[in-house]
Amino acid sequence: MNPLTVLWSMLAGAGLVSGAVHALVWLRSRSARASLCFALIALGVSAMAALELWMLHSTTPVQYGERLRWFHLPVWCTVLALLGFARTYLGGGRSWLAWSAGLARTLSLALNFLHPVNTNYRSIEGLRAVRFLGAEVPVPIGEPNPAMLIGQLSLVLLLAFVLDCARSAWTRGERRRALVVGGSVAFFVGAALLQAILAFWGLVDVPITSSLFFGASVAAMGFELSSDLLRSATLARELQQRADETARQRLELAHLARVASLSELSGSLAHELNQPLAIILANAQAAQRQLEREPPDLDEVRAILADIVAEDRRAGDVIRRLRGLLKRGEPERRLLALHEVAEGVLTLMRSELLGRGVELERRLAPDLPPVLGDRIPLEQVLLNLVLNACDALAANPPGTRRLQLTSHCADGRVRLSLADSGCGLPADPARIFEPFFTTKPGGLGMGLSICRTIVHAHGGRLWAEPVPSGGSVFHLELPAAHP
Amino acid sequence: MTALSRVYLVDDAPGLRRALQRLLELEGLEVSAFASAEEFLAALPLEEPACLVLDVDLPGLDGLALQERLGARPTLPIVFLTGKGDIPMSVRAMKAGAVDFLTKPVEAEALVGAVRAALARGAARAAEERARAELGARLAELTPREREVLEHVLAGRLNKQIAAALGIGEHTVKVHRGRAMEKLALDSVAELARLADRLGLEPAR
Repeated sequence: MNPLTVLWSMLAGAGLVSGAVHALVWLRSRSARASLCFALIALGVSAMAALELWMLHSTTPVQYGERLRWFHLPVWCTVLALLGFARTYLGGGRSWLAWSAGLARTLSLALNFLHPVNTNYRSIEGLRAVRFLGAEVPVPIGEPNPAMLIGQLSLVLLLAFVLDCARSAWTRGERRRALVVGGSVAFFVGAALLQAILAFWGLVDVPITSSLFFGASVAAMGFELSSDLLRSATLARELQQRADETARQRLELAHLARVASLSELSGSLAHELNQPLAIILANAQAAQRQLEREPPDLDEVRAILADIVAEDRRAGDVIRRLRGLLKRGEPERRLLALHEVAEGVLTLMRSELLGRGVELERRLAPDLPPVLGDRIPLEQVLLNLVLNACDALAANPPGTRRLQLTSHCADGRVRLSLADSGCGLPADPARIFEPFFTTKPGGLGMGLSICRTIVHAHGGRLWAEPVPSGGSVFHLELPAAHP
Repeated sequence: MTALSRVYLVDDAPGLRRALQRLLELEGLEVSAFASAEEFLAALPLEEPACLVLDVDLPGLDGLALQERLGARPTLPIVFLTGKGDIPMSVRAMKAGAVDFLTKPVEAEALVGAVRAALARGAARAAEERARAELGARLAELTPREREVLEHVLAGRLNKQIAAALGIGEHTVKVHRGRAMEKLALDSVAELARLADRLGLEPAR
């Protein structure tokens, strides 16, 4: 078997395989149009190699002419696919160049099949054997067909278009891509064009080896495409890392905001813990004195101990809630009763409300369905809303600092509303949820923005409305869970 | 003894109210507890002298406001309790006449000590007031002439000089003087001089 047969068979096989691979890529992701174009180019080159091999095995001029005629079909396909590839992969390029290259090639193909022999020869008188890469191959002797100028013009236009696309990719900053794809396509298409001109016009006696040149550019394009795949995999990994990092930072930020809210409460929280301690001490000392009496009143001692236990539990409850809010929590979704979440927050804020002279009225709906959520962030939202409401009430004269907590459920959504009779909202209530918006001196302006993020992450809504009689109302709405 | 054992306790936390009431009652004190300043005001008038154990941080009318509302009541001294007392607050309370200002948690010894001191102060004030009232009543029994004679006695004059100054007989001066001293339950001129201030008597010129 001569080396040409081996080489060309390998070329056809390689083209077929890479064409099939990229056709599969395109089938899996229809948006990857560069892959489709590349698959068509590779398959075209594979067919070109097969037809060239066939031509090299021609024994009569008629056979050669006929096979050369069919050769133009994969060339047409490859040229059109190259135009598409340059357009989608490199981008830019003047459209008229692409259109005229495509039209010229199509016209050339039509003339090729209309002509009695083919677009390259008016007639082929005979075949001459020449040595090429260590083998005897046939080269036609005949009269060149001027119609082939159209086909060669199409290659010139293709070259110009690819260079134009490469230039625009270069100016966009995609220099590597412009250089590898634009450079290799231009070089090898140019080489194929030169060979075709020299061979078909009878200037040099060589067989047509276009598939070799096109194959080389396919290799360059294939290399670039697969490094794209690698790059996109790396990019996807980085994006994932970035997303993880963002999620972590969001948790961290939420935690910091919680700590900030609690530090605002620290005075009254200390009182909230101090009160049970005071009660426990007084009771314990009363018990000691009771036991010193003759005889001690043991029923009274029992009552005292019961009070001590109850107060100790109360202090423990406060500490447990505090610890929950202070720790860096991992997200944990479970079924929650929203009323219970609210009561937990109000427990912590009892002294604060008392100290600020704020009266709280609850109007809670019975049988509120549970919601699916993360307790700590939701407590944080309510804590923020109550604290903000207290701030809004600060300027009211004592006795008119009123808060109203209401709840209701409609259309599968649970809503908690907190209304205050305070200083009201700015003209555009939506602005208060923007990051860094604040009306408080020394405020960071992150509280409500974080609250809204938390509520959105629960598939809910958080918004504010002015109250006609003065003040504002904040609504927290979450989808009801259906266990 | 009851005058030295009456305590009124005002605190909004039921747990603390109960505990403090237990402690004070174990000390033999008679405790009435109230949940708010308003509740205490509604119960007025209450028996005095007594000690008022008052939480500063009350909802509604707070402890300091109640102190202000009550005004100066020497026979109802106040012991304040607070969970978050600061210095300006305690200064204000003490200036307004509080006996003590204790922070929670409060040691039983400290509370009982403060209450006892307050009760003692209240009782002393009450006794003083009672004595003054008695003296006042006795003074009112003197005739103008008897009072005149006493004023001359306070000025250090002899009966003869007084008789000359008032244009009456020396014997008459003696009778007036003896009757006045008897009405005021006084034994000596020294005692008269000691009480003159409180009696509102001034030496005659």
